[in-house]
Amino acid sequence: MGMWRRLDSWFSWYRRQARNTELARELRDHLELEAEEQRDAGLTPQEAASAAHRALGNTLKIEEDVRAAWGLQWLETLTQDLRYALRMLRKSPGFTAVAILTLALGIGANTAIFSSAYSILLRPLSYRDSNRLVAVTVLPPGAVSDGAELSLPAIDKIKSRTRVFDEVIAVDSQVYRLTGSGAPEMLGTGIVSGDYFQVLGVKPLRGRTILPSDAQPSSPHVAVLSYSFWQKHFRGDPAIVGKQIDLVDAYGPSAAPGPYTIIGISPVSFLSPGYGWDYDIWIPQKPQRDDYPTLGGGIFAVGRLRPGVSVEEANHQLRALSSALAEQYRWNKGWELHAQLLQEMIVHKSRLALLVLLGAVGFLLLIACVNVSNLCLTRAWGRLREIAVREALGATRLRVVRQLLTETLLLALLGCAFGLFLGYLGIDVLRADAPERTPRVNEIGLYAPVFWYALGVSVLAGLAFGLGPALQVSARNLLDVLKGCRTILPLANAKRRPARYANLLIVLEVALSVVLLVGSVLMIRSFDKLISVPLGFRTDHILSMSVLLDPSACKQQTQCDAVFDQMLVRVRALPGVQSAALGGYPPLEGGGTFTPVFFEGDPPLAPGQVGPETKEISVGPSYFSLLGIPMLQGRDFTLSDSQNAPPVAIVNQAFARKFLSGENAEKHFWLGGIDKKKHPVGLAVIGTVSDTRDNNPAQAATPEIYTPFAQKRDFLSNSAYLLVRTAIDPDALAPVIRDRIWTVSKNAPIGDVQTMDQIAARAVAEPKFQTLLLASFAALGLLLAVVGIYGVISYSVSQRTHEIGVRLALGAERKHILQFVVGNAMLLTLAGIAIGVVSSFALTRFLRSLLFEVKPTDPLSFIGVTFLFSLVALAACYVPARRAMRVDPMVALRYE
Amino acid sequence: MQSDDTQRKLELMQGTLDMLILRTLVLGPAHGHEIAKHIQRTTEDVLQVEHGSLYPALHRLERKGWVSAKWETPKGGKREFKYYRLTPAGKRQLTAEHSKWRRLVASIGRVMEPAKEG
Repeated sequence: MGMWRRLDSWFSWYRRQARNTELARELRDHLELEAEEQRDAGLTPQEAASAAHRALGNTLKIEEDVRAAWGLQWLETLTQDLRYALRMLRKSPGFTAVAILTLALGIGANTAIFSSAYSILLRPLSYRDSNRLVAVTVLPPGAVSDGAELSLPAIDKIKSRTRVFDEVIAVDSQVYRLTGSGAPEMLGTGIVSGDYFQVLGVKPLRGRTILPSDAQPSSPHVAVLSYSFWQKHFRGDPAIVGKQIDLVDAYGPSAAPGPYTIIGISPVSFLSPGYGWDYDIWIPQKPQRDDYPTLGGGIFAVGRLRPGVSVEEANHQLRALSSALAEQYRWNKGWELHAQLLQEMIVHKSRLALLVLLGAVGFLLLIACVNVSNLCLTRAWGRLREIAVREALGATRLRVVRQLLTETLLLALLGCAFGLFLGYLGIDVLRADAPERTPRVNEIGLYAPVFWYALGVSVLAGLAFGLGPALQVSARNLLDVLKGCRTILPLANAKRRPARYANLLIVLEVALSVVLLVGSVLMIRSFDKLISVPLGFRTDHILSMSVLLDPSACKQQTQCDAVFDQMLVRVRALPGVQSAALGGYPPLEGGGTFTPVFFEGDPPLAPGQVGPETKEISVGPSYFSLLGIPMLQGRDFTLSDSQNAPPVAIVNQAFARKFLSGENAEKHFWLGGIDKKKHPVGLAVIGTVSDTRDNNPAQAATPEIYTPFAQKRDFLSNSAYLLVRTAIDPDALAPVIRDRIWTVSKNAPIGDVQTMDQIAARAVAEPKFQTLLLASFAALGLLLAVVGIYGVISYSVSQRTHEIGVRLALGAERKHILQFVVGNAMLLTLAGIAIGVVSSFALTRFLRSLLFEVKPTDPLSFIGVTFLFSLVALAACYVPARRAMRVDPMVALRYE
Repeated sequence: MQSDDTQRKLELMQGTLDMLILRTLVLGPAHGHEIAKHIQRTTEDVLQVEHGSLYPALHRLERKGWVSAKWETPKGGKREFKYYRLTPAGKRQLTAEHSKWRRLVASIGRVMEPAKEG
């Protein structure tokens, strides 16, 4: 087949060559015969020969027409044009390099951002039939999104009482402790339903995955390791499959670690679907008695819709099930099961930022196109004579446009190739520097659609920047050009079309660049506000780490607390340590639980009704002083606020304002879980601290109540976060502190070691990244725009050296020449700025939800950009204008 | 544009040249120059056949299979010329073109000179 095609193409080439020589012979014969006839009619041989030529016409054109008759014209034209285009590009390497580089920047940025957008938003999740996978959650009364995870009974009910799912899989996120081999470690553990891996279509890297038979009550304990944990902990040892490890539920009541057999390793790229949990290990969920019939329960469920069933239909049945369950168990009232496409759930929060970035790189590419268009126009002007000669020799306008377009398309394709390479590098940077919790960041890559997108964009760009100049120059008046008339005076005479076109390009370029700048300045201002907003606590010189005590060492809370207290005493005694405190979580790490607040005399809640809630944070003594949170009133917790002492609390200002003012001021109140009979006087508020932004720097303080760590009410608490304030670099102290902790509780797993500064930086990593990207695109756009303005003005000045010389010779002042050139350029710039500002007004509202305390129409940003851009543009045209001013009239005139 | 037109004698209607070439070849094989001269002479130089347009037309006809071409030495000649001759398909095409043309001329005539026709 391939052989035959090669033969055939060789053959057709051979035929074509033969036909060409034949035709040449035929035409030569014709000329000779005609000349002979003319000689017979009495003309001299020379006259006869030229008469014959006149009668026949342009032989080249005939040859082309004949070739067209054989239908190969387009191909030959293309190869001819391509060869010519290559030659032309080689002849002016400077132009070629600048044009390709400009395009490559635009296309590279587009490739990188589009591949992110495609890989995250559009590309199906890498699970089997992932377009039918939905996340099933339960929405609390009144909520419409961000549902809570389910309970096992709820999942059973969904399986047995709805008919919309083929399968429903579940994963329960727990922390297990790995003991035995080396330092104790806490493992992110996914307890999965038996069909979990099968439903997701995961093929193991080694061994096998968990099967339904592993989830039987009597089947032996098995575990699947994640690839990264296998690499990290077992150094990728393949012999580990089949071996046993000791695992135990880190917070669970059962203290005895059980042996688990490792049956397999997950593939490199596998990520459990969900909120971005990175599991180290998966073990099967065995049936357990769990009759607690609430819908919510901390288990992430994924269902596969039956073929043909829509998400709406699934939700319809889930709603019906929810109401049925609410009748059966009244505390489910108002809670509603809810299905959402899995992909949508995972990526929807990234959509806006990606679309904004996609828009930004689109603008950047347009600016790049305008610049290259300018370059092409300049070059085409330089080739006017060549083009005129071609047209005089019989080339049609279409033919000339085609030739010029071939050249620009070739440029575009070269730019595309180079741009893809830049994009490839850009993707690496994006993957490495993207904020930690960006979904699917590891899946970003150059997939086929990205390639087609880049190619399509390049061809469009080639047409966009090539068509204008090609049409412009091919429409010139031939005679004027051939006579050497200098028709090209951009800016000099706005009525001339090429000048008008160049002016239009400047205006367009400025407008595009202004939109980009306004967007990025808004983001920068917003980010600046975000990082300068007072958090209400200090972040420097503070180290945070989680500590987990062996449950067998503390059977009761008081025993655990004693261990923790001893730990604090020893850590505080370390040189370099200023203070240490316990907390449920460090600030900004999403800690705290929502607890109902009851006031004396409140009517009991009806089923499904949610009363007032507050965020409750459990902290140990000196937590506030360590973090520098001012105590406005009252006292801190002390060691005597223990498990058996009367319950006490410290509140923040927001809590005091909302709950402790007005008629509530004198009332007793209780939190959920505090026994009203045991503590008839309720909770004693012993102090007020100032508000902090411990949820998120962008979020103002909500009502918060702090309770002593030692008075935790729910279950045995053998884990805590240890905060340490240091006089020296906190990172350097981390290993010392760890060793000190181990002197108290041998081999207690210690995790999450990080400084408060790192935590605070992570809290703003996402806006920082977005701002950085947008700002670099805007800076690139500004640079291109300035280069563009500079280029056009320089060229126009160089074209008008003669005119300026004449003016100067006639007595024009140099100052006026400067004013004239700068004035003209600034007029265009200001027009562009005006258009850009108006467009920005229309566009920046899409940024609204990305902005913090900055309005999309923030006047300062708009004015700032206008001012900045005018200044930069002024500089860009001042340089060529000075050159114009310094023209020596004599030299300029001698040119002619 | 206008001045150009008046200088020309009569421009061929699109597609007519093909018919004229086919008609010329009914008389026997001919090479390009002969065909051009024949058309020019028989129309008494009223129809201006641009020699240049003749060759693309010949090749078009050759590609369609209505004429065939062969390099031959004419009787008594010393060198080869590329001779075109009508193929059977070309003859059929000529007949079709001819009758179409006849109908066209007749109907145009009825419009332009109704008295004569009546």
